[in-house]
Amino acid sequence: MGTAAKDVIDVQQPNNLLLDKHVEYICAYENKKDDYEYVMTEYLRMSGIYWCITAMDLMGHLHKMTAEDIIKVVKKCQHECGGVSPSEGHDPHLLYTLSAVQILCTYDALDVVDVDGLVLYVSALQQEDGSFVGDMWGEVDTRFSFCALACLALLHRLDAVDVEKAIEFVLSCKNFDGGFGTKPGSESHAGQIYCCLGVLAITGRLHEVDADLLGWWLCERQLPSGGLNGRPEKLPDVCYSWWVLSSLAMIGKLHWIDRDKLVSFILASQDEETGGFADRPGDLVDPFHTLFGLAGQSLLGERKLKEINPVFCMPQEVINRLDVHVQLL
Amino acid sequence: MHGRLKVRTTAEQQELKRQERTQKLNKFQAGFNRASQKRLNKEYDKESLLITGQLLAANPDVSTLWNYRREIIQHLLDVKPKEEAQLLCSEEQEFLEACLRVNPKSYGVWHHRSWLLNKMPTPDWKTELQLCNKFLEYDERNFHCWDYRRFVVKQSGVSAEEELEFTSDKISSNFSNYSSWYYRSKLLPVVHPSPDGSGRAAEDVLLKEFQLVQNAFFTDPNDQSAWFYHRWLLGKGEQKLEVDCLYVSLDPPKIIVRLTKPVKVGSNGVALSVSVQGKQLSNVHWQNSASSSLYGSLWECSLQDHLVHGSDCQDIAVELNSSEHTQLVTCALGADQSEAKAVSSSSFCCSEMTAAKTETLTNELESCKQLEELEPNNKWALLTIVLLMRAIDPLRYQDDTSRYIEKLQDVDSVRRNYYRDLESKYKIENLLERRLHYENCVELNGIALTALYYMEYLATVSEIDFSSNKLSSLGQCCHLRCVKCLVLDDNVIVSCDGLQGLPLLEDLSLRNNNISTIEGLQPLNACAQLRKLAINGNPVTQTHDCEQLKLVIPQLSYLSH
Repeated sequence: MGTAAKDVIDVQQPNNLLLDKHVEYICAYENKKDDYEYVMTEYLRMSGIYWCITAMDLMGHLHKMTAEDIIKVVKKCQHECGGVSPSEGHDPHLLYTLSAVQILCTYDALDVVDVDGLVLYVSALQQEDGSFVGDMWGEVDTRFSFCALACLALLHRLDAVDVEKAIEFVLSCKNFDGGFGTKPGSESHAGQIYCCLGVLAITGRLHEVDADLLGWWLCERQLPSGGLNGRPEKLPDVCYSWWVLSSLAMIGKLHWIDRDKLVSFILASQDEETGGFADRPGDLVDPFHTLFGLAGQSLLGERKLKEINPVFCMPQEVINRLDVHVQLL
Repeated sequence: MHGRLKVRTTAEQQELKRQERTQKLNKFQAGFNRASQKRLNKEYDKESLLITGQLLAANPDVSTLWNYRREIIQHLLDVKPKEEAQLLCSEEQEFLEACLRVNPKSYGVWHHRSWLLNKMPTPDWKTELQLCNKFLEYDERNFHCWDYRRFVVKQSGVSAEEELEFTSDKISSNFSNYSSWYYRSKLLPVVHPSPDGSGRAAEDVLLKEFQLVQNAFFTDPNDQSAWFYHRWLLGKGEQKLEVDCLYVSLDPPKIIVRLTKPVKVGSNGVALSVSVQGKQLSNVHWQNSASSSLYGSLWECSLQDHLVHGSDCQDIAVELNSSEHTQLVTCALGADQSEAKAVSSSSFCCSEMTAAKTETLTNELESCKQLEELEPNNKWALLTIVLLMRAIDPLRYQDDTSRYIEKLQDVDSVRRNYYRDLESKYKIENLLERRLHYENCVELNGIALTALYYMEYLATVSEIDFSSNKLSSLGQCCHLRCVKCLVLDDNVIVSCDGLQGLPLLEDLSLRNNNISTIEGLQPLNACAQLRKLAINGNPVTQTHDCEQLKLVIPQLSYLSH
């Protein structure tokens, strides 16, 4: 009686972590520079690099990536305005500026860019109401609030923006279900929730969240298949294993989802032949879902992977090396 | 990147696909390079529009191309006369609509459209609203479209009433309405604001919403959005900032103030000031009990040198100053008293309910129970019954509540840990509702507690017993500022983190827990008054002897091992 809930069929295979295959997959991806997928995703290349090296670092195989080449690419992509573009020939944007900082932090190579210029670029994107636009073309989104604050937190330069106003704006995006949307008045979405909680964790203001209400909304993302969706009535997706899970971790409610069922879903989304993770079992893999599948596994305690920081989605040891501290409930 | 099925193909099919893709790739690269070249040369002409248009129609996420296209359009708008400019914009609108039909969820397309509408000499907002209506017909959950709609509504002055009507239509005509219910939650307080200025919607309107939402979940008991909305209707409004309890002690001389919500004293306009015998104290240093935050609802300050032993009655007053209001609370420490309290008289759980609300909620409870009879395993009905019982009369329904929560752990087992923590929260709320936290001794043993809630409310209790539960973390115990004797036997505790710095803790029992490392006991080093400790039945006793343990906690006089 009534509409059936959207979900996928409960798939049980593969049921173990295919670490070696994933290492192979990412290495191969880096070398496929003429590949269709690779070229057509040039517009997000910087984030693509961040996904790949973070995945490799989590698996303990970062040394297999060509650090020098990557660092050179990042350096080339910083524009005069201080911001970073996804690739050469593209315009700078806050999304790729964060990815660049994450990459350089992982390699401990921040000195190759003009950090002051970068900080200036980020701070100039803050609006009067505390929000951040993604670039000079004015799109406002709480994703950008996260990008800005995460960037500055990693650089120890939060003093460059009006943090109180930034918090005020994020809180104005809080909704009836305890969640957060893209802008004030926007519907709750797990990705946006991750971003807003990230801002609050960085600024020590997690007490402003109704952790019980939001935690409940987040644990309701788990479907019978074990996978997590991003909001009600949507299909499960491995990337939500990261955004929902890290959100739960930030507010101290990680134990509210069924760990074993989720692990089973994430593992079933691996491709046994090619390596890598897809959004759900049976689909095509990509580096994006590979990182988030591994990141989710790390948060769930997978010992073959390094510990991951739930706010920055970077290895905790990198965050420790940078001496960056965040609040977690 | 999403929703692409891995399909098995023959070698021949793969080769064909590879060729097709190489063609696409070359075409794209050629086009992108040409566009980049023209942009470098500052060429903003028809060809630029054509090339970027072709590229973006197939690849709407390449934001650099949208940027260039905006430069082109801006230039043309600057040089063309008004009518031509308007025509250019409407052509662009058509182009964008075509893009949306293929990619209705592209951030780039929607953002470009809002940029365009802000640039148009004479924007037609009605058309834009109709566009939103059309795309919400295709997909009521398209949040890009809803966000764009809110932009159009704001720019064109569509009233909140009209939008509320729109949500009513949407909700009555189809399922999968989470976005509409959500929008409703934003519109109601605007269209029908509560006269108390709280920012919530007026009560009589909220009560009518119960009818609306009940229709929804009776039509489709698995329609999640209605149940989520229902939970919101049951929720309380924003808590007002007030002093909930003022506690004074002579030995050690200190004040504890408990507020109704977390603040940072001395910041954001929140201040606490103390007077003893009518004289305001200067240089008062307030500290909050929360270990991981600068914000808290429990604040403490020392009254060293300000309180006198063996004196007549001493009057203490604390004033709370905030942007919300000012409140003065007084407390008298009698001549032969060592401590005193002034506490709020309001009930912990239940705000006063109007007769109308009580009646509505009672009817709701009846209806949900009827639904339960039809669908005994519908977790939404079971959970909502629990929420309704808590809202109506938590103590009267406490046994029923426990039964339902147990059933929920069975019916919705994936979320069993959530239900266990919820049950723990309710049990502690019941204790507070009975005002048992104002006694000197609190017992919450053997009730399957998995989480500690409201520990700030036990700040003035000196003997606490949480034994025989399922507690794994003591993080919340940092608020037990007056506890002298704490019993935590027979739990699943791994670490004493949370107990460090408890100023009055003398006697601690942790028998039969899961402490397996010395690190787990390290926090006790910072409990200056701790003299008695029992840790029998913990794995750490297998690997470490008394002497080793005493090194970590040298202040102990008695260790039961």
